[in-house]
Amino acid sequence: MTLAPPRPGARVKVRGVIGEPAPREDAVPKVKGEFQYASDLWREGMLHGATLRSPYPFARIRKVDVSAAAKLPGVRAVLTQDDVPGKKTYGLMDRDDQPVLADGYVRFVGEPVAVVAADTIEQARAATKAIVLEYEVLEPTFDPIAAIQPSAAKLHPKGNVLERVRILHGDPAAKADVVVEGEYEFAMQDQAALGPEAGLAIPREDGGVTLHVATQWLHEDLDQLAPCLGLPESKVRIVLSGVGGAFGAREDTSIQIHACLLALKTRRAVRMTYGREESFFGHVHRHPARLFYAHGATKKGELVFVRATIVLDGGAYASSSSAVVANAGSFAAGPYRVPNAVVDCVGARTNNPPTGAMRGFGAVQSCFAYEAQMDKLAKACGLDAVEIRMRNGLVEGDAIITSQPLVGSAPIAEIVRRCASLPLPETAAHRDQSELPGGHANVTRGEGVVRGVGYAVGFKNVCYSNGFDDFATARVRLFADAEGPLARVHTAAAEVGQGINTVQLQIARTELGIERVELETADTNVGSAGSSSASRQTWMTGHAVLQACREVRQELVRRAEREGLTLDRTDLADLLDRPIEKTVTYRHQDTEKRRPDGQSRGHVAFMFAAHRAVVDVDVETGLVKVVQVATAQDVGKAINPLGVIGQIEGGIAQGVGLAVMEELIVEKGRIRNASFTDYLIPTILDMPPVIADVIEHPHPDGPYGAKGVGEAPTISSTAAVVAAIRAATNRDLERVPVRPDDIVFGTSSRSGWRIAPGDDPRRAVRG
Amino acid sequence: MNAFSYVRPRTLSDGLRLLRSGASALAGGTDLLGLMKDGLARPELLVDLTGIEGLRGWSRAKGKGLRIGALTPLVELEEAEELHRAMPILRESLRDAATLQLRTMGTVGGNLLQRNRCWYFRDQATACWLKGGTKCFAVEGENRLHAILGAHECVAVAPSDLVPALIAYDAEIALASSRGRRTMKLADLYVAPHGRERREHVLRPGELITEVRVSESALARKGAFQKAMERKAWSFALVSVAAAARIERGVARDVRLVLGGVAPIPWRVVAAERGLEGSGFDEAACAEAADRALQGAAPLRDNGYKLPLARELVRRTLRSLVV
Ligand SMILES: Cc1cc2nc3c(=O)[nH]c(=O)nc-3n(C[C@H](O)[C@H](O)[C@H](O)COP(=O)(O)OP(=O)(O)OC[C@H]3O[C@@H](n4cnc5c(N)ncnc54)[C@H](O)[C@@H]3O)c2cc1C
Ligand code: SF4
Repeated sequence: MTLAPPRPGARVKVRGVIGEPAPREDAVPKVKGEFQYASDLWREGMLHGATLRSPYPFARIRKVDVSAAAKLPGVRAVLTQDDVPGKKTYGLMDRDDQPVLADGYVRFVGEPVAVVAADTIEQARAATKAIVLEYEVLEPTFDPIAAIQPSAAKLHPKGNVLERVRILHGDPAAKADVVVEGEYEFAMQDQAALGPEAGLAIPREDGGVTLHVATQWLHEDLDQLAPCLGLPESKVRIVLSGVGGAFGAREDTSIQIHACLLALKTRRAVRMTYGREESFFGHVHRHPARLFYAHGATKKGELVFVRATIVLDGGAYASSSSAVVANAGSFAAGPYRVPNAVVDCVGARTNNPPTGAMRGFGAVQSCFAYEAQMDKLAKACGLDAVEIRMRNGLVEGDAIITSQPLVGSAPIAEIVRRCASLPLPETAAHRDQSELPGGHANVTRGEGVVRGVGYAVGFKNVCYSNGFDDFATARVRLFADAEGPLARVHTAAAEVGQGINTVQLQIARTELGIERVELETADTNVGSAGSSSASRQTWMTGHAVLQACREVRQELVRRAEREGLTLDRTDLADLLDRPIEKTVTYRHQDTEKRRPDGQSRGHVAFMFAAHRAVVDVDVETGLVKVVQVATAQDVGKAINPLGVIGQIEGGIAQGVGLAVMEELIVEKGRIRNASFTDYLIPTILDMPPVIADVIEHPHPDGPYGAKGVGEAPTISSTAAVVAAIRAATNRDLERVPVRPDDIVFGTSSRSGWRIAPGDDPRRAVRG
Repeated sequence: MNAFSYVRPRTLSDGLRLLRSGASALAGGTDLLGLMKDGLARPELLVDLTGIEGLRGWSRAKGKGLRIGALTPLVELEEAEELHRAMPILRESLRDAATLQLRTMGTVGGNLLQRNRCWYFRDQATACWLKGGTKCFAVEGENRLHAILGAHECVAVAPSDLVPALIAYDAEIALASSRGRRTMKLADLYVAPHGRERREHVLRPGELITEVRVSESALARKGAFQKAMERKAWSFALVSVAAAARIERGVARDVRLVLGGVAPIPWRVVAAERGLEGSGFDEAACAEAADRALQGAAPLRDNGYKLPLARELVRRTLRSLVV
């Protein structure tokens, strides 16, 4: 494909094209509080939905009696599993293992058991409390490694192993002069989107339903919804509402099916909005993990082998676990040349809250471990952190451990070198009290503060992998009104804060050469755009918009030729007495399915970033302040440089949060800190300045050479921050987030299982 | 949240009359409304105190010390320059408390009476000992934020930042109820929940705090406050330390040392205070006091870090009185 955009009708310079820093259209309304989020949806006479959730991690439901609840004032419907007219289970990617409402068993604390619609939210909540339930409590399993042992009790008819990926690359028995090992623990992170799950379902005259909802993937919601409602897809329309952050948490459905069931039952509009606490129970989280690693290298620090066993806790239901497991395995050795590798990666079903998609999607967990290993190896070989990464970094043509070669990327060594050469921050002595560890105004005046610097590199796929039929559709309509030519772009791409709306506008302006471009509201009246995940929307929907615009332009050329005109010298409005409309579905190149040995060209493209973190650690108190994060990231092409920086800074904020504070505390399956008072995310004062070197090494298949941007900043920033804390404290710190305890005492947590790296974790030994 | 009625009396006597059983005083509401939403408080009647004349604001009459009305928003204490000159520890302790929004709504009286932040306590579904249940879930559960000192059946910690600072200045509180008035030392308001005493303070039903008082002689002290938190803003203290002393020609008198976040009550350490009496807050004396302050500490599974953290914070806070 040729990449140079045409310039039809471009007599005046068009503003807002690709490569220009373009502010988001929703930026000012959001800051002013005028933006309409899904939780602001409102309709005269609407009902309010509420959910009754399981208090137990594992139990059999002996009896449900909704009669008292149904008689309460204002209550219009009380629904349980028996009232689901269609399919009783749902799940992402055809997993289908999750009941719409509990199916006789509950498998995690917070599992929806019944839903209620009432005139007011208070009435609806009161009714959920009036539902009589009898449970027979069963023995739950919380340890993911215990759950996958052959002797473990089955928690679900589909078994406890959600996915297993084994990767064999080169010689599994390879030997090396220098070997380092480690066991790592990765706690549960939450996406912490500020907007809770919310939507409004409106029944239609034809027996169908329209759902306005904050989601990441309208059509996947549709695929899951329609069968459960017992409706053909044509009778269900889903419209994207204002999304207050997603980060993966909106990939699974939350209120979607429930709100529609209630609306269809009552023939009234029903709104469901989770409160903050319920939100923590009502969406999936990032997989916690246990990682067992061994790295072997020559004395010069050249990698000889990587062996790893990774167990991810998928919680009670599959969600996207299988893809997360595949990713954690695929990227388990990092962006390095590794001739020999054995990786065994398993996703376990437990009675913990379900986990699924979150920014970085499996790559974050393994990056934390392999980068810690690289630092250990550097130490053992007498190299520094930069040198060992430059020495082993992939270059174009090198293959990763699944044998897929690298295409269209800057060499890792260059990314690392450019990151390392960014300016370092000033020393502590020059800085304000508020920049030191502790509170804003308190704790340290510089005593006991040790500075540390750490590096990490990470990578991940862009778009869907392993043979998934990944496509995106765009419809572009060009017409003229009194003010001249106007283009309307219609896709189902979910703007979740990442900036795909701006990107679509920029691409259309560039391709059509006009400034007046508008976006239609994303809904299911146009073909799927796929999910706003896997850093894929610019690549996928961007491509679709680009191609649709080019087809529109071809039609313009034809019309001009018919009139004997040259397009460049013609007023476009003159050619638009009839509108031009083109719909294009873009598919990326095929990817291979995974083979039994894990080898395949399974991915479309990769994105890479390096991070350098500088931290100040108050070693006596265990408090940390991240002082600066520097990054070099290969984005291919910065279609919206402002958006790229936003994604880099936001991703790093999430990475920093995970490194030093973000942890869902799950005790016996119950989340203990389901509030923003107790689940800490970085404030603006915790967020260090970010310096970014945005590398534009074009990918031959990306739109204008662009790759994905959004996930790379989260993947290795956490590992870099922890490396910096290690440098400051000399502690091993094999667990994230790092807690004061770990710094002060050097506590390291052990899973209590012995697993030789690379071995099948389903045959683990306690001890 | 349960249904409730609401009144906003104009006078203290009306307010006191309205505070019959089932009623709850409402000041800024920043703690109470949260408790109500979580089903932990279920008042039938909210008596909004913010309309009552004379409970808001502060004054300092010559020789009579400082009086702070219980309904004074925290932000007023923090921002008043004159107050800052008279008692700098107030601003120091409030700057990192909650957020500016919460300090704008939250009042002094409410801050003194806020409930603890134990996540089992705040979880409606958990009937822990303090809420009338049979066991404390934190002792054997997730207790990284809990007490290392002075706990009995309940290991929750005193959450306020302001309280240790006020106690370091021997603050007193004035109380009023329909049966009369009394004053007490602020420190005496707090009890470590134990036995049949399943509560954090001894305020009687129907009683209001009207005022906080600091004597003229206490105002002559120099004070310092430090707070360690897990992030830079908007979080409760892992440990906080308030220290105060009159320092005459380099010699310390009337030393006070009070810790927050380590015990079910604001943790005043008289033994450490005595050891510092007459000292010059030199390194050795401060370090020894820090050790004394933590004597008898019994960390739980996950909060051992509080010990070195508190020790170091005490040492630094004391040292900061002279350097
Ligand atoms: C997210 C969050 C973070 C916070 N962080 C901190 C922190 O870091 N440090 C800190 O010190 N505090 C912190 N707080 C607590 C905050 O300071 C208190 O909520 C606030 O001071 C309470 O004041 P209020 O006027 O809103 O009290 P209300 O919520 O109105 O009342 C609290 C209680 O006191 C009673 N009450 C109020 N006034 C009187 C009176 N005059 N006489 C008798 N009873 C009365 C009420 O009946 C109620 O029981 C935080 C709170 C939140 C929500
Ligand atoms: S510490 Fe106190 S409030 Fe927390 S669980 Fe124990 S008894 Fe309840």
